[in-house]
Amino acid sequence: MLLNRFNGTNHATSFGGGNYVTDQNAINAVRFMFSSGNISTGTVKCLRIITII
Amino acid sequence: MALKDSFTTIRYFTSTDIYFFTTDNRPLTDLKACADFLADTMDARGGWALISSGTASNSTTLDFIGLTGYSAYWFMITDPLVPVTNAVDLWIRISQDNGSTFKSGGTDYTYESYEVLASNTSAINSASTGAAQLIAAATVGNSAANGIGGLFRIGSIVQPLKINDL
Repeated sequence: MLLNRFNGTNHATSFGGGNYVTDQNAINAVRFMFSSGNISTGTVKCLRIITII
Repeated sequence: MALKDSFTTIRYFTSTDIYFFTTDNRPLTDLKACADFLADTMDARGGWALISSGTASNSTTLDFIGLTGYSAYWFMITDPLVPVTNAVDLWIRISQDNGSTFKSGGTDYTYESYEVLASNTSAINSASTGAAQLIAAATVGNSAANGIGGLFRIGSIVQPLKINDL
């Protein structure tokens, strides 16, 4: 995870690691949301990498 | 020899149709061979392939379903996500029933992240070994010039997709 955010006061960069889901059954969907209130605007694209061979 | 090496050219005859020719200039009409050629070419070049896209408009959530077939997916926030409410956290949750329900139990997730502020020389650690969501970022601002962007990966060593790897 590599994210940049701005809240009017601070520019910040977040690095994530060591994250996991307790239930190890297969994952087949992902949700983005805020802790309170709706998402006003923004676009997220789901991508995969085509491996260079 | 890769299939692509047996072709000399791709000829564009119209704005919608592409014609393939073999090395001895015979038109190739086998659709599978054409598809294999394109796959070979794309693999040789590498790059990103778009699976789906979601745009928020005062939306409760942005959901991506049907994530099967690959060992890793990348989510690129191409236009910053801006919350309606000021100073809220960006959460990520996952589903194991293709979006019918999303895991939200109090011990469903373990996460850890470090946030580096432009105004501070030390990183701020945010972590939990028992949470109802992954917290990707904290205190996101809600004015038009605020928001959050970046890149998030979910993946596992092998299929099926099992481990959130941020």
